[in-house]
This record gives sequence, C-alpha cells and structure tokens, in this order.
Amino acid sequence: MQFINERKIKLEKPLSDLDKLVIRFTNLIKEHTDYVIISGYVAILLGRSRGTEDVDLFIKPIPKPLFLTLYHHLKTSGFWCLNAESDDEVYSYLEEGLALRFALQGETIPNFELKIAKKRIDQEVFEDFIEVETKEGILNISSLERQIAFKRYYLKSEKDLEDARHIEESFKDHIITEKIKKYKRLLELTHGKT
Amino acid sequence: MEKLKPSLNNAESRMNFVDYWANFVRTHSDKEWGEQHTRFINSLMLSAKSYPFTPRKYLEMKKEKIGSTAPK
Repeated sequence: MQFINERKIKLEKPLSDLDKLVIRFTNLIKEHTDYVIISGYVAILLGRSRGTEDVDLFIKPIPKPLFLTLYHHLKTSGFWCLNAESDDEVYSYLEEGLALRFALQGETIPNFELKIAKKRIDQEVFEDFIEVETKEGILNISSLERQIAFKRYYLKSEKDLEDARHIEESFKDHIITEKIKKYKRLLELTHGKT
Repeated sequence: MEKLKPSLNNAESRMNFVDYWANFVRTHSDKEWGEQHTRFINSLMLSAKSYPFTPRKYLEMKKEKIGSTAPK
C-alpha cells in the first residue's frame, strides 16, 4: 500500500470477491450521490484478516426523488433492499435516521448498510475521506485516524479494538496521533465521555 | 520479520496476531500479503453464499425494524 498523498492510497493487491462487490455497489451509488465507507470493511480492505457480514457506508442527505432514482438503479442492477420493497417505506427508513441494508438479490450476506449522514460528526467524514485506488476502481473510505478513534473510543468491542490496532500498525509511518486525539475529543463532545 | 509473540490468553493471542499480520502487511508487497488475504476473504464469501436466512429472519436476528413490505 502506498500513500500517493494524504488523501489517496494506491492498493495493488489482488481484489477479493468482497472488494469486487463493494466496487460494483459503490459505482452505482456514486452515479447519484457522494458516499464514504466507514467501519469494519475499511480495515478489511487494508489487509485485516477477518470476515464481515456488512459494509457500512454514509451517503449525503438526498431528496426523495433522487434517492428513489438511486434505489431503482440498485434494483435493476441486481440488488434488493432487505428492510422493505415499496418506495415510500424504503425512504421512510432514511427519514427516521435508520439504515437500509442492500444485498445481491436473493442473498442476505454480505450486505451494505447504507445510512444518511445527519449528525455533524457523521457529515465530517466527507471532509477528509481517503480515495483508495485499486486495480478495478476507486473506493472512498473514512480517514484512518477517524476510524481508529471511532473504533477505539466509541465502539470498543474486541473486534473494533483489533481493527483499530491493525490500521494503526499497518500505517504507523503515516498515522497522525494528534488527529486521533482530536477525533476522540469530538466523540466525547457528541456521545459523552468515552 | 518480527516473530509472533507468545501470549497468555485468547485476547492477548488475538491482539498479538493482529500486530504480527499488520507488520507483515506493512513490510511486504501488496501482491504478497494480498494473495493470502484474498484467498481467506473469498473462502468466507463462499460460505456466506450458503447462509440460509431470509431478509426477515436476518433482520429479526439483528433486532432491526422489519418493514411491512420487506421481501419474504
């Protein structure tokens, strides 16, 4: 893995079937709105040796007609929504601040957990995300320091602590510790003492 | 290449492996670590294909809201 600049990583590994599926899904999303992948898959893409049942991503707030165009595009491209099928009900999830899960038609795992970034702290992922250039396309992932802070100081499960450690150790020459501390303080302000 | 550190319990063993593997990733080419990694992830993807749950069953297990129009 090579940092081209502070917002771009070149990744020349052979892509897994999961990576290819993520590229296929996000290529559809980005035709309609901006997205950033967060949480576990970020660590997996960057080499963490574990599986996952879902890939989490934020999209920017999107008006209903535009979202429905995206939803129909996903459906005609072989994905289904696990939570609901009707247009109104699918969009109501996003209005309520709930995530929608999409998977390949007929399957449930792996799935994409898509959520609108509504809170300020969530919207900030769009300000400093990283582009990962793979052999078959570009993926937008959350900044590494943000991921480490979120997993280590907010989620805190064994799996999350291991993900944070993997990212920190794999990129120890690039991680800016001060940024991790800054995100930790932001998490404390938003969610209380971590 | 650093050796895998011995550990006293399962949590420490897992974390030591995370360190060992992250060091391998950092010090080897994408091709070298990626081939092993991709084989591992692909095998997990293959077993996920046989996952028998319907969307409703899956959401029920996750304790998430199931829409009235959720696929059966």
